[in-house]
Amino acid sequence: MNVKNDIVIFFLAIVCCIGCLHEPVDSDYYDDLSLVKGGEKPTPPVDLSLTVADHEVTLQFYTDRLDSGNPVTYDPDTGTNENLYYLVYIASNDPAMFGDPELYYDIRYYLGYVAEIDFAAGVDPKEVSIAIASSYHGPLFVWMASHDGGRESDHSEVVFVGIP
Amino acid sequence: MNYRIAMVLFFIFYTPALCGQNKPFTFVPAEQPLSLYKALAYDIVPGGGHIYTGHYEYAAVFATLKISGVYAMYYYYNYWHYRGSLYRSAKKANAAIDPEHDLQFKDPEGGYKTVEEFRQAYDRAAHYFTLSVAANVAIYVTSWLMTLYHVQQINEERQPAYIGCATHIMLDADEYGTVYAGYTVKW
Repeated sequence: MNVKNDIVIFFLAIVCCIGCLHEPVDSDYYDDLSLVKGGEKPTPPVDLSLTVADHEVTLQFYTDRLDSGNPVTYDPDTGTNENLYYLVYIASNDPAMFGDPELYYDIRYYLGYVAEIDFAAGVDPKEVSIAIASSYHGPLFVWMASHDGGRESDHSEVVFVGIP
Repeated sequence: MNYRIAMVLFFIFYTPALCGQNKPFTFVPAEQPLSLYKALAYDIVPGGGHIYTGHYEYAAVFATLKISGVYAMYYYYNYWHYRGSLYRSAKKANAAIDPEHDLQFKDPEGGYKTVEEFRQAYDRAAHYFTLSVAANVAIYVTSWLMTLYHVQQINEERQPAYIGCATHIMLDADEYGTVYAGYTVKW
């Protein structure tokens, strides 16, 4: 009788353990991009350049460039860049020295954004003016990224200018 | 009348009247006392202890509370487990798809959440489960205390009672002719 009880307890323990190990949601549940806000990530603006005049920096960038007939800056989910926002990041130290690549998108370097629809259609390059404090003298590093409302692109190339 | 003779007569005539009956002992049978251990053991079953003590209204209340409590514990355990698996899945997917950005994943309960927000929801679910366990413990302890109180109350009324007396009248006289009388009464 005792042996039978032990067997029953043993099997109940196994069932209990299996119940605990079972995952209600599969580990690859979120590998599906349709469950990610923004789906595919957009591509960033290209060909950034900076000009400086009297502590006012003008950032130029292109978003309507074509590469073999396809737009370079676009959202793969819509096929256009009409829904994109362009984020501007700025730093006084070289981001190439960042130890963590996530710092390229860190809030402490975020300056602001402009939207594609803020510009007249077909205007390229687009320009953004950045006012720099007159007390600042030194290097300035600027880079950009696109945002489709859900996902942010990889960052663009980093451009550099010295403020005299 | 000599008062000693009066006392003797008092003892002789009044003692049987005091005892009420001529039986030496009268035993008043009481109901069996309730077993505290049995009552507490029965109370593991929702309402069991209170049914054992005959308090059916308490049994209904505590049975409802216990069944609801156990269901809440079961529900929140599953919910905690579920939020944990969502968090782990989102964390793994974020690392695989785009480790440099905090992606927002569709929450089955609505809206989108980052991995950090999924972790917070997982923590909240753990708190809900902990609270449900604490609530169950509180309900069981309260039920046991009430059962204990009722058992003590009932057993106090069921103390075995003995009513009885034994009379033994002794009359004696000394060499001078003085009469002595004595008697004993037992309870």
